[in-house]
Amino acid sequence: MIRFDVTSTLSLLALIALASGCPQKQEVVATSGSTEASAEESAVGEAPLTDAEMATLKANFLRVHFEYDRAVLTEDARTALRENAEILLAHSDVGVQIEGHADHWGSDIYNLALGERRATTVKNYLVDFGVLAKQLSVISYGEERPLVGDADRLTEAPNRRAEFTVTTGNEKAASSY
Amino acid sequence: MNRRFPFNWCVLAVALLAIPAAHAQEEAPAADDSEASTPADPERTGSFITIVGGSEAAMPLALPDFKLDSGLDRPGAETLRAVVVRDLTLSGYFQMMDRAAFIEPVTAGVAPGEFGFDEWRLPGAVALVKVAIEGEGDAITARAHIYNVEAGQQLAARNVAGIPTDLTTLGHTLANLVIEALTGTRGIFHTRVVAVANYGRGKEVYVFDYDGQNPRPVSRNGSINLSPAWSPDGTRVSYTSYRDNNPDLWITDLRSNRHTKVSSFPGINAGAEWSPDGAELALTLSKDGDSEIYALQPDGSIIRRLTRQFGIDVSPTYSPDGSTICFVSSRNGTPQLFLADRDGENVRRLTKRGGHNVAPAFSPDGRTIAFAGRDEGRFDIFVVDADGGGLKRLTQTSYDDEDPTWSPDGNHILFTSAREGAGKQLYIMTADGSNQTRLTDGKGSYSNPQWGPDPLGPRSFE
Repeated sequence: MIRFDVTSTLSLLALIALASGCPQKQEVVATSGSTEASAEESAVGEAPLTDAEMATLKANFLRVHFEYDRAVLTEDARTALRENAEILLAHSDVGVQIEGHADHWGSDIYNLALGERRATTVKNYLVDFGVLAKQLSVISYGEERPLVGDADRLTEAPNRRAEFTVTTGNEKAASSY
Repeated sequence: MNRRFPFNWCVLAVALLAIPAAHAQEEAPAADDSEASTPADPERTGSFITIVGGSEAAMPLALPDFKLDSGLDRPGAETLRAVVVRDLTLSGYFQMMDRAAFIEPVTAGVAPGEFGFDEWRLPGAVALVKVAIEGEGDAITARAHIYNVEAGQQLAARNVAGIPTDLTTLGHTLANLVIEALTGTRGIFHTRVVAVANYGRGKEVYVFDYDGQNPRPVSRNGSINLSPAWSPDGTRVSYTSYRDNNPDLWITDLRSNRHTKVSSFPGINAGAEWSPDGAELALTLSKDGDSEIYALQPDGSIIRRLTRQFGIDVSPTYSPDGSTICFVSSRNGTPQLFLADRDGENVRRLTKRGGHNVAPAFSPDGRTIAFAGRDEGRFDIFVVDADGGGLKRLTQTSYDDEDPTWSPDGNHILFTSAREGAGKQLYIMTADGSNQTRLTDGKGSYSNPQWGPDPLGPRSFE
């Protein structure tokens, strides 16, 4: 969850920077976690996104959900992925890591493979939509990173999902965890 | 489960055990009955008798306070005795008698002729284990005597050396001695278990004593670590780790504590298990865009691809003779167990009932496969014969029981269960499903246990 903290810190700082009219970089450098932020910026291509733009971009990627033990895209998932694809098509310098996740049902290893299938399905859909394959990387976390605990199986549906972590300059970012 | 005791106190128990135990039955009660009513094979048993069944057949065993000559104080002796009691209780063979029932005077000795058997017959002891401790400083000796109370006969006597700072090891040695004298088979108390544990700072791989105690870290890298597996000689552990931000296969040499990344294809490098000869590991790679099972050399080079079907193919495990692999595949829609020859040919489906069957584990004799199957919304532990027959339920709770693994003697199965609401804990049971006992104390959560090899080498199962 460290990355999320950095992200929210960055967007907060970006807002402060914009409001105060200060140069953004100075603000960012003054914070802890600045090393990662600077590295990200330097990795961006010719027209680097501002922090504010990056924060908005990160927030705009939609999570998609799957049915139990399935890696097939639902209609809702396709709708969400088309929106994600539009962002990627508009920002060919932005890369994302697609993270596949599963619920706790079944063995850890089966769920690792299931998460991989979900992430790969998402990637293939985006590529079919015209997104460059080099913008996309895939990782499965299986059942290791649930959104909700597994106290009640009926409430586990949110865990069957694929998430997007924005990387920059088409480089694979450090895991968001 | 077959148990052989060197005397026939348990004829009655055999009769009683024709009634299937309440928790071990269901799919194949007929198989239970026929086995239980089979008379002991006279050639095989000699003075032993074969019995079948659960804790109802447990032999009343008396383990009086250890006699202290020198070398250990009373609290130390109690600690040592507690190790032996725990081992013998977990074995499922014995009903450990309450010391309050003992009537022998404290002046009685431990050697033959130094005490009377009537004092043990009266409270109902069938077996008697007497231990005297002597020694000084760093060297202590436990003089152990094991008796058949009914016959008034000594079955075994041995002096076991130990050190006061490691009473656990000494206790396990004494318990092994008792098992060997009373059942004719080697004990398991010096074996180890590898598992993933989360003590609040992520999932790391640890090696434990067989009973889930005494964790020693293996991975210690602060990322996610999964599916550890023993090399057949017990010197190395393979596991999958995210330490380089991809689920890669790592091997840790337990002697040097060196960690080596051996397979790091993009995507999954996971669920590895070693072949019995140690020459290869079978695992799942997703580098082809779909999860497929491969065999690798321990240095990570690919030997062959074993599966070519679209769908999830995971959890390969070798039969003890190395000729066959069992694995999980969703090729027909839902995850089921399949068997194939070691080269991936001759694939046949093993489980035909249930909608979700995973985590196969061959018994050490190769005849049976334990697995986790979902039934009525929960996972339980089942066994099925390697020919597909004899499906039998071993556990049934309203929580998930998962990841079964066999003891090297085939008499026990260790598994994880969340049945007591403390997260997934390690449990042990006898191979017929009886004597289900929690091993871990709830301070962490546990997954993917695998029982290690016997330090004295593989056993033979005729």
